[in-house]
Amino acid sequence: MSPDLLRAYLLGQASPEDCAAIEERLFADDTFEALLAEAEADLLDDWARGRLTPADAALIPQRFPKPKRDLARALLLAAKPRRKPLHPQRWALLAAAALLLLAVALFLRPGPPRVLIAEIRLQQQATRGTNPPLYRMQAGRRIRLSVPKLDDGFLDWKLQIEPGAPIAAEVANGRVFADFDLPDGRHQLLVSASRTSGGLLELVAVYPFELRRDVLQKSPLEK
Amino acid sequence: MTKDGLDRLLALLSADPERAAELYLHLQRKLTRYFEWNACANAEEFADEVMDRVARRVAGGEAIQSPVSYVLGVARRVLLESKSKMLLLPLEGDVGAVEEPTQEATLARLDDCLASLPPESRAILIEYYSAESGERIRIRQEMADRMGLTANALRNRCLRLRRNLEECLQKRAAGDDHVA
Repeated sequence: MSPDLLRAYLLGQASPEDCAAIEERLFADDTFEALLAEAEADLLDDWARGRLTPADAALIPQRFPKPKRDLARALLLAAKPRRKPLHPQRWALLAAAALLLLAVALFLRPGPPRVLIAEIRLQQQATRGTNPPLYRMQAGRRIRLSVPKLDDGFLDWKLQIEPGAPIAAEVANGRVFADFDLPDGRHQLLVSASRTSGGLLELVAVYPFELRRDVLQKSPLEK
Repeated sequence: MTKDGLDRLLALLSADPERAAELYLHLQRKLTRYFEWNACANAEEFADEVMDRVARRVAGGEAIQSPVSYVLGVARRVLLESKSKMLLLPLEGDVGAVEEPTQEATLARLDDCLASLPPESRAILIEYYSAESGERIRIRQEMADRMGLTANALRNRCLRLRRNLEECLQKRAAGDDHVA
């Protein structure tokens, strides 16, 4: 049985015939049980990394209990190098250095600030088997990515385009948005939030999309 | 479950009492996995319910040709009933009851749990599960070759380690909640 089929079963998306075949093997074959358990672990690890489609990612909290999801997220964090907490004295030095840099930057600021000219409003969608939506715009400008606020129970929304770090998002009029400098190509916007202020971030949605800048053609998305 | 029902069920599984007990526990574990993978929050209770029903039917004189197929059939019925009764609980049972742990708290617990493993096991677990999806098969096969194990043996070892880690995290989280 293919990994895709096992994954579909675990997400509750397999056909009744496939479910019956999988369940019969589960009871008859211990090696198959281990394969299914591994498919479960890999599925949760992919979810923690933001590698699932939005439709599949949305099923994870309904299908798997919190301890399994916590473990997948913790293993992902454990595999990444972690920064050591800074000594208070070093914090003070860094803060002073940051203030100095800010003062220099304001004094030496070359010309007007960069202007945001395009906003992409990403809609939640299932992308299984299809290309991500393509957004075209004028070259060389920043963009604002905006997505619907899917759940009112969350606080501290963060948006992230890998490999960049998550950035704090603004929330207004039922939408979550942030500005990015992005190269052309395919990207995935990861939307995370926590249920309590400063709490553990949960992946809420993933939006794959493709960005292409045209030098001559003016984008209809430009304001 | 009555003693008569249990005795008859064990006799149906095997004439050898020790083997029968092993098969009973084996079936119960499979049932728990079946219900877990069908998004049942209380999988162990559902597994017990299935074994109870099968024991009652055996005690009632029902002829059963293949105990495993029969158990699976009863499990499907129990799952169906649970769905129709809306007993299939959402897995977010802890919403509102316990404050979400901070990322640091989860990591600290994971560090404690990982520290309780031998260093070699810790390294194996991290390497096995840190592979990205496109490289998993290759990296895991290379690990198995390097360790002189079959892919199956390495898989089983890592699944055991992961399950132990999950149980450890749960225990520590429960302990922290208790302290708080």
